[in-house]
Parts: sequence; C-alpha cells; structure tokens
Amino acid sequence: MQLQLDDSLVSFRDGLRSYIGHNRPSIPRLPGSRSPQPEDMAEFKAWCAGLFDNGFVGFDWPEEWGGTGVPDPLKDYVVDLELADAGVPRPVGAFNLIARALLEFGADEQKAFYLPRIRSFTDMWCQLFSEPDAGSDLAALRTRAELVGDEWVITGQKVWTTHGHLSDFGFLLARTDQTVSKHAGISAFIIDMHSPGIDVRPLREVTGATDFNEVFFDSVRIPRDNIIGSPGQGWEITRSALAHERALSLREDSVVDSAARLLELVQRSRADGTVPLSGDDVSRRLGELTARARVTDLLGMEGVLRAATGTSGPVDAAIVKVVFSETNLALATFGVELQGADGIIAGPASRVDDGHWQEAYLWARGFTISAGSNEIMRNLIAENGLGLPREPRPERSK
Amino acid sequence: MPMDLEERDEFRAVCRDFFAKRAPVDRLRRYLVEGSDFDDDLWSALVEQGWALLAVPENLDGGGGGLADLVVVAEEAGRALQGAPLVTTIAGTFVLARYGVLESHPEVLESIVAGATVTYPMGFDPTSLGERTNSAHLVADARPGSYLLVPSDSGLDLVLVDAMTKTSAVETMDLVRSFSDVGFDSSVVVASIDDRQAAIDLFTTAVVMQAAESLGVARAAFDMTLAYSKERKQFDRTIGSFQAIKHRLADMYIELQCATAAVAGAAESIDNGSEVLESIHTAKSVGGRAASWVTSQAQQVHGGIGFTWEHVLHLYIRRAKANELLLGSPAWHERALVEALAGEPVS
Repeated sequence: MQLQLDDSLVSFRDGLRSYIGHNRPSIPRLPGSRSPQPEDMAEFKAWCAGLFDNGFVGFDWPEEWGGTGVPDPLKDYVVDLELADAGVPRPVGAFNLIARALLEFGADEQKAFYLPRIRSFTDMWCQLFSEPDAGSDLAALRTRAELVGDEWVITGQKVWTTHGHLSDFGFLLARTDQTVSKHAGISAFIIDMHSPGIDVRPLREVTGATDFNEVFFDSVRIPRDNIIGSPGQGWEITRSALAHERALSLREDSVVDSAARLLELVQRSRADGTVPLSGDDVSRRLGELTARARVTDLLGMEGVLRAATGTSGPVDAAIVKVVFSETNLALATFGVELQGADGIIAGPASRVDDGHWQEAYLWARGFTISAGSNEIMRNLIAENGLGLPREPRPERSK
Repeated sequence: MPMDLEERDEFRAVCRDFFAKRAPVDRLRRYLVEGSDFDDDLWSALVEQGWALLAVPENLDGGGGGLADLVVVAEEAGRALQGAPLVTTIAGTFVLARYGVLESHPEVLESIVAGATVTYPMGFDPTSLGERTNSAHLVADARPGSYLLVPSDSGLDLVLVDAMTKTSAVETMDLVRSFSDVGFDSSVVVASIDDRQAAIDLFTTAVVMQAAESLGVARAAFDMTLAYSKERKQFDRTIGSFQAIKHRLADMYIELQCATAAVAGAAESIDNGSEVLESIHTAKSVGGRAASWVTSQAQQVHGGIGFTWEHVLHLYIRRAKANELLLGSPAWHERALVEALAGEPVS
C-alpha cells in the first residue's frame, strides 16, 4: 500500500531524506498536537525554519513570498511521511492557518512583516477560536473586540488553545458587532501573546497531561491595524484558511502502525503471558481492526491523489476524518481490553508497552471531537455530499 | 489492455446504462413469480457485448482486462442484481487464462466465446480444500454446457457440466441466483491444473469480484434509500431532514466509500502481485460487512414498505448476506489477515 512516486517526487523525497540525515535535530518528535518543551523551542524553531528554507514546507506560497507558487499535495504527503518515518518533528502551531489568511486577505504591511517571520519560524503561532460556549457552533463565540481610539480592546475567554503557553502570536476571532447575525459580526485579528492582560492557563485533559490552554483576555489592547481584512470578514477568512488546513490530512498517528503494534503484542503475549486474552476471538477482532486500518490508509491515499488531480469531492476530507478517528479509537480500546484485568494498570507499572495503550485509549477521544466533531462531519456528509436538508439554524436568520 | 482512469469511468457509464436498459429492477419481480431460472436473453446480450470475454487475453481476441477493470463490470452487475453468471464467468476465465488453459484447450475458449458460462463452488476457502474430489458444493448457476472449476489441494479441475453430471438444486436465501450441488465422474474433467496455487488464485480473484458485486448491490440499495428519504414525509417533514436518518445515511455512505477503496486496492494488488492476501482479506472484511450492513440499514430507513414481499429491497439484502457468507465469511478473512501478516497462526 504505497503511493507510486514519479521521478521528480523520488528526487524530492531523496533530497528530503538527505537533508534530514545531515540536519537531524536532537529533540524528539511528539505525537499529535503535543507541544515541544520550552527549553527545546530554539532548536525546534531552527529546524522548522530549515524546512521552509529548503523548500520542503511552504513551497506552495507565491513566488514573491519565497515559494514556487505551485501547490502539490503529493509533495506534502511525501514530507509528512518522511518526517514521521525519520522520527523528526514536524512544524506545529497555527503558522499555516495564519499564512493562508494573510496571503489571501492580509494588508501589504501585514504580509511584509509577518510572512518572512513565518518562513523563518521566528514566532510560534496559536489559534484562538474555540470558547467554552462556542465549540461545534464556533460562530456563537462571545469574545469581544471594541475599537477605542487607535486600539482594539479584547475581552473574553478562549479554550483548547494548543501551544498557547509557547506562542508569540495568536490568530484571534472576536465579535466586533453585536447587532448583526452571528456570522456577520466576527472579525479576525493578530494578537501579540505577550500583551498585558493575557493570562494563559494550562488545561489538564483526560489523560492527566496538559496539552492545551485556556486563554483569558482582560481588556487587552492591540493596534488598530492588527485586524485582518475588514470588520465582519472574520468568518469568511476563517473558512477559507480552514479549507486549506483540512487538506492536510491526518497522518500523525498511523493506524496501520497501531494495528501492527497490536499484532506484535498478541504474538509476544504467548511467550511472556502479559496478555491473558487469546484465541480465535482475539485474532478475528484484530483482523477486523487491521482491515479498517488498511482501508483508512487507502482512503487517505486516494484523497491525496484526488487533491493532486483537482478531483476532490466535497466531503472526502470529512469521510477520512471520521474513519481515521474512529478506527484509531477502536484500536486503542482493543489494546487495553486485550490486557484483561491488568489493563487497568497505567503508566510504567503496566507490563505492556509502558502504559501506551491506557494513555492512547484516553488520548484517542480527542480526534473524534476536535477539528469538527464527528457528528458535525456526519451533518456535512449528509448535507454537502448527499443533498439532504440542512439542520435548522435559527440564529442565522436573527 | 488495462484501461486508464478516464476509460474506466466511461466503461462504468456504459455498463450502468446497459444494465439499466436490459436488466431493470422491475425485471427482478419476475423472479419472485417464476423463480430463479436462468435469464437466457440477458446472458446472450452480455455475450454479444463481449463482456464474458473481458478477462480473455488480447492475443486470444479477448478484452485483456486487468482485475482493476473487471471489478467495474462486477460492481455494475451487482447494482442491477443481475442473475446471469457474469461475475463467475469473468473470474473463472481470468484464472484459466493465467494458467494458459485457454491456449492449451482451444475448444474451451471456443465454447466460452459461443456463450458457455464458467462457475465454481461458492462455499470454499483455502483452509477447507481437501484432496481432489468428484463433487462441488453450492455451485452458482450450474447448467448443461457450463464449465465448473473445482478447487482442491492438488489444484483446479475443469469440469464440463452435462447430462452425465448429477446436479441437485439447493434452495438458498438468494432468490435471484440458482445454487446446486454437483457430482461428476472423471470422464467429464476436461483439463487439470496441478498446482495448488491455481486454487488459491481462483479464490482470491473470486473474492475480489464478489466484493465488487456486493458493493454494487449495496450502492443500489443506498441510492434507493437516499431517494426515498427525500420523498417520504412524516410529521410534515421529509424523513431525510431528521438527524437520526441523516447520520444513518452518512454512515452508510462512509461504509460504501470504505468498501470502494478496499475493492479497488485489492484489484490493484492482484494486478501488481503485491500484498495479495492482505488486500483480499481486507476487501472481504470491510466490503462483506459493509454490503450486509448497508442493505440492512436500507430496510430500516424504508420502514414498513421495505418489509413487504413486493418491494425489491429484500432481494438486495438476500444477495448481500449470501455473498458475505460465501467464499469465506468476514470473520474467516479477518483471522486469515492476521495470519498472513504474522506469517503463522496467531493465538
């Protein structure tokens, strides 16, 4: 199950392999949305800047901003795969999202200042979208931005802010007009995360670890020119930027690798007795999950090929998201169940994979919820893919 | 010659159009009244189209299609729930061609060109193969003049079904395909391939073609259901506007897309000769379960009308379930997948 690469992709891949070989950073690759350690940030930023510099990331940017102007989903795919295979970090943060927003909607001065800094990874970026009362219904957000003199004054709260504690800048959505419909009253801003009045508090999630933050804004003042586009254009800007973001598919945690790890676990258990469950039912269930994992990869590859040929369907990405996240959760669940009563033993005390499966069982839930919950994905599939009637949206006609 | 993507799309359109005209859904109702007798008219038309010869190599004046092309016609045949043995004939000739039997036995090729069908027992899997045998269980569409491929640990025997063979019909839940048990003596064996791998190749090819057919069956049931959910009103709303129905249809669609990817992946694997077992087990696990589940959901969304004998939906449910259980159940393939990856029996 491998994508057939043509000569130019093979040489692109070989170039990347050799680059990784010569420049491998000493910091670890972290799963999913986990943040680098603060003391690793300098090396992390330098590594990401090198990927931009050498044309492995951001090659699709317009020529005047340092790219080739040619998007290539197959190259993106190769980069994702090679970084993962080599076990080196991939660039994280909202850098891609803000770059898309600025390239399409940014003022000339904004582009001139921020775009080169994004390529040199001078700053870490976070995304300030979700709020406690605005999750799936993002447009219900309540954080306010009021123009007072030459400054916007920001008041409110954001949540699930990945890398918020490490970020230099944030891509912020806030309400600038209370009198219009909820989508029309939203604007997009760049906010300096070191501004007075910003309080970033770590949020502890189900695993017990802290990977996200809550961010509180208490009359935070930012320059008037920090708005992206015009007031009320925030929703349009976000949708456009997210459309690019979604095209980057979920290849951080390979479900085929997970299935292979489970197979190894089942085989090993016969020798060391760490897995009490065995027999026909175990191998059948493992086979079913492995088949699901292989299909997840096939769907992902097909998505890349379709993106490369401009034949993507409107709900291809939503389907991959649902299949990936649910297969991933099912694999982790089976990993715990396989261990029987000892499956409750977590962390290094676990005799199996240092507690990997207990952690994965909880962590996997994030994927079925984040980036559009799977229920929202099913609405999208039914409405945009199958042409079924839309959910009632009473607030929109307000 | 294998088709490129565009040609394959065009071929799919041609197939769909043909089956819609020559094998419309209403025709299926005839089966309910008259039973599942062989549809001679449809078969003649299929032979005339040249589709029975799609797997025959080009140097023998056939279509020379790879399996990635052949699954297209299998899926469309499934969509039409056609009763003629197109899928088995194509899969059977694919394997006969691979082992050179069509060249060594020109009379077999001549008969197939003239309209003879090819079939095989549907109840087997590689672990159930035994010594060379004189009988075959659950053979689809066995009729005088058919060629029957009988797998065993020794390989494949090609049998000509005729007056000398003993064919006894088996009543099955699939109302639009006839099944029988066939007994024969060695005088009717017209060719033998003494290579166990030939039996495995028949199995892998048949599984992929069956998964493609089931995908078509499920797609047809899904299309009916989607259309119905946009028409049927309850509580003054189309039922397709209720989220419970929308999400069910979204899930059906997701499963169809998974099955599509699995079938295409398996067909390509056989064409490339890489990861064949892993891919066909994946196709049957995902595709077999998907077709059964989607047709079952289709009936639920149709409500009472879908529970009536007159509605064609039960014919699709029956075919999907029969295909799921034949040629190795999903459970069998799932265990086999683990074994193929591990290189040995597991647990």
